[in-house]
Amino acid sequence: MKLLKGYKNGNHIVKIFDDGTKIKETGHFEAVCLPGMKGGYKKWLPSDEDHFTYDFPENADIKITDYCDAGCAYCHENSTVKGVHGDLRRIEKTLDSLHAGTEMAVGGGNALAHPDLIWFLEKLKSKGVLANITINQKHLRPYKDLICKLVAENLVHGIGISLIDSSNKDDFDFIDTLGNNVVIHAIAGVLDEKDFDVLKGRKILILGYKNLRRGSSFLEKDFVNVNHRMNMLRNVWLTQLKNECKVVSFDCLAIEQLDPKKNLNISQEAWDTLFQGADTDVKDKDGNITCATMYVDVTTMTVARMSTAALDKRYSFNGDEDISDLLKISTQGW
Amino acid sequence: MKTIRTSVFETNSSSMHAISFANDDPKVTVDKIYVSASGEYGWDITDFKAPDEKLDYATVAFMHIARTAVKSELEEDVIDYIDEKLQNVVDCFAKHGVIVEFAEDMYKVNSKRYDTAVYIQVAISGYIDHQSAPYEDRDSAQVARWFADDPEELFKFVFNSSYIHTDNDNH
Repeated sequence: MKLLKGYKNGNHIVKIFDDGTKIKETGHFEAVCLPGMKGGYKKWLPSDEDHFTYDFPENADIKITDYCDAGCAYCHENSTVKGVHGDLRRIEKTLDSLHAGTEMAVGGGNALAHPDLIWFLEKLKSKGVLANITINQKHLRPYKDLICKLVAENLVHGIGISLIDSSNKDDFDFIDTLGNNVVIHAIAGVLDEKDFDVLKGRKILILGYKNLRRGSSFLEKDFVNVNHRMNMLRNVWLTQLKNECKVVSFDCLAIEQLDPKKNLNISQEAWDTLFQGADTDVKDKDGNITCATMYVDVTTMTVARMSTAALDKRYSFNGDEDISDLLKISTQGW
Repeated sequence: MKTIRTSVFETNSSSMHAISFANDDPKVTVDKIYVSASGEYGWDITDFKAPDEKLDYATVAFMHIARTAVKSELEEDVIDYIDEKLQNVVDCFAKHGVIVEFAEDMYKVNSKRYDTAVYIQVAISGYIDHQSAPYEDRDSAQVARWFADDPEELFKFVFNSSYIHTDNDNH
């Protein structure tokens, strides 16, 4: 693994490697003088604090458009061809306040359709921000040249592909040309056993089922099948996927719905090391921020804890704010 | 406190990767290994197959090469080098869900000055017999190099089906 970025944030250091591995450790730097030598250096001394604190977000999930022509029946974003693009140039000052090493998960809607996408990603790259992007599988072919450009110019690091059709061999052949940092996104309750063959040896992210907007109507219509697939995933398929996939990861909602700690028999010690923290655990007793991530919706110019936050927990911003202030704002009401 | 996100960037545009598990061909059979670098390898006819034995062997092999890997006459530099490599191994194994704990007093670094030269010694209680010590192209040297430079390969070695066979030439 090659180190991509290392930085200090709050009470800890963060190291991100070129395969996406991220190591965080609490501690502090201390000046060290070598006997008989002039000068010295700073040595990192780990500490045994029981939580991380943050001066700025480690990850920001940013929705840049609500436009999408994929029409997925369970889309919790409700994105359509009538959706609008966010004004990315309006948030330039906020982008300027980002810290090198911060990760941005860029999504939509169809982020590839945004006319300022390249400008935006070049801006992030110039700041040392690690941009990642979510792409719907349906958009692989129509945007093939653009995707190749993003990869060739290192404008994105991680690429999440929303799984739609596991039988499309051409799509997966193309995915295999995109490097080692592609993660297939699969939704609990939608993911089916027929998809497993194509997932073997790949990195996958299992997302919890969001019973929201079109996700809600899809669930109502197809409850029996969604429920069956959810139960099978929880009780049977998880173990198979963990054995067959290169990496299996979960978002917070999927952890709630599938209980991988119990169902994959993960020891408490391993869990404590691998679990990245809940996105609703926002402050410690001293008032320090303890959540690593936040959600930015440029289409509505709001920030929140996460994309599923209720409307009364989304807060307006004007694009001139420092990202650290927006992180603080996003913790209000939690 | 320390956490590790394994082998994925934050691609999720609706909430974060909360946890990830890596999977490789090696079969992980334990979730914790305690290492004291106290094994004695090389005279008796023995096979070392258990993950803790293999990692202890690798640690002993690494300690053999550590003093020559650092071009410095300062004990501190050698200690920093060793601690960094130990930490890399801890991080790598943790990434795969295996907690490695090295004994606190596992090694000591001493230096002695002879005229103009300083000789640095890394002292541990374990040893590898001189005939299979980690020099040049011997297998033990490869294991030591994995420990120092490629913890992922070391991880595979510890958890795959390979094993260490020790013997002597008196038969």
